[in-house]
Amino acid sequence: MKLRRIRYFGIAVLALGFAGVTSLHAENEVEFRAVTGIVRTPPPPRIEFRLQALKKGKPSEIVWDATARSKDSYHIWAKTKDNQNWHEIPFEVLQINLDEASVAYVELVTTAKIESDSSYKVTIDPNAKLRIVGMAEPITPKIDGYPIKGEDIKRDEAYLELRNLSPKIEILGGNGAGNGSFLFRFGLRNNETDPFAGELLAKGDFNFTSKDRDEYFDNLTGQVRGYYSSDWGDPRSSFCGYLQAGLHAKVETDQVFDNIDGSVGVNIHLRVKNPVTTALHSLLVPKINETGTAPLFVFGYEAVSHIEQDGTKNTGSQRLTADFYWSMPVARNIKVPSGWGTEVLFDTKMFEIDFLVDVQTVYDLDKSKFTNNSKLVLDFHAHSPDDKSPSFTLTYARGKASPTFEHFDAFLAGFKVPF
Amino acid sequence: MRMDRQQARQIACDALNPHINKVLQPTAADEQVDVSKTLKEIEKKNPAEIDDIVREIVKGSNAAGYATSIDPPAILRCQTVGDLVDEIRNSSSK
Repeated sequence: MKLRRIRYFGIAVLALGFAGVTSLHAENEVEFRAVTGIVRTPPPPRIEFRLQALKKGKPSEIVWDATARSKDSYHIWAKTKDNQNWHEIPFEVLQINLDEASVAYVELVTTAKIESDSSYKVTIDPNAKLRIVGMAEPITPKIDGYPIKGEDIKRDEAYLELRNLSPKIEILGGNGAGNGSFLFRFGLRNNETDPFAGELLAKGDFNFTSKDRDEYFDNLTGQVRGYYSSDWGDPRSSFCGYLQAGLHAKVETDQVFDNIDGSVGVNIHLRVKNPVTTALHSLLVPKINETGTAPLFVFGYEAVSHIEQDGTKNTGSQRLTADFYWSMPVARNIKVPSGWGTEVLFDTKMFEIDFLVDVQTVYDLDKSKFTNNSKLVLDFHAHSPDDKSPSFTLTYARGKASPTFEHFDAFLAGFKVPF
Repeated sequence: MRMDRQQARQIACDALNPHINKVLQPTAADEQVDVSKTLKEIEKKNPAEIDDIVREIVKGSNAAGYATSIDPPAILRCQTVGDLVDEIRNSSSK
């Protein structure tokens, strides 16, 4: 069997401290996928090396030779602050788990603490052999020296602190001068398994010049919320979901503070998995291998106090609200031609498109008046493993938003930076 | 002792299913399904749902007789269902 023409290429499989590399045995359509990374839980932090064989894209059974089971087949190298040359460091084998049919796990614990200002790499000894079921000759997967960067360890640590911020900044151009949009969040919770929790939220949609503020949503919001959360329904079925029920207090204002509403209320966040959106998810991309999110509904009641109100508004002091959020994949694996510079800007030529739906409705109980506003967004973004790639957006936004309830209708082009 | 992979698959599927547009089955094939984008999207719209996924995993693991110390950053690191299965197994002990 000819295995000589072997091509190797590296891909980033997992962000935040994990990275992968793939070797492709082209003639046999056998691909090895390896991931090295830091496993932090439970302590101590250890380096894990995970190897999977795929034949024609499907997991294939690996049969390991005795050599691959030996500690001598693995080496960990480090570059530290004191020694900038790659040098082998001592380690213990925590686990060599070869009992799986298609995935093998090797967990190695360095004797010294893993430091974020050091770099590490794992190598496999060339004598470590394995076989793929159905193939006669053993193969050494030359997953050789894929590094674990100290920077990645740092980023992982930083992310631990910032995980509840899911911010974005977006700039949109269209009617009038440019518009901006932002969202910041901070979670409050005793521990991760506590169903009672809280959240601080700040968000806004505004125009960069106050004279054009009626050309876009004119809303700045600060909110504190406490809630109880739980799943509902049978998770093995196609109709189930997630529920949050809580209380909130918020302040909403326009960008020049002519209209300021303070409110307290109750709210229910409801994730509703259902057969319709499950079917729509793969309508335009039939072979999609992503799960996608089930639609999210937010229902609420608010008692409103008008802290500031210009004479023209005349809105009531009790509101019912209902919001709907969903995103649908429109296209995957769109290849942008070379020369467009996307390789330099985004490190890839592959792009994706999603259709995002945000609909918010308000029913004024005192005035018996129904208003709504909606954002329909086509979101073009580079394919990236960590989904932090900037997006180009085309937004159709219309309706009336609190606290001004001024009608607008706009088609906007934007640039969004998630981080 | 490490959790059986099939058990970990079932726990991962039960925790993810209420939030997603697919009925995940605890099979080797569904371990290849990409959940990275979904988890990031959930975190953007309603980050407490990630905590709920953690809670469901801990509940499922406890019911299977394991103590689990998985956390939200570990969930958000997962690219595929298989990665989540690994995280569950790595963070569980008898």
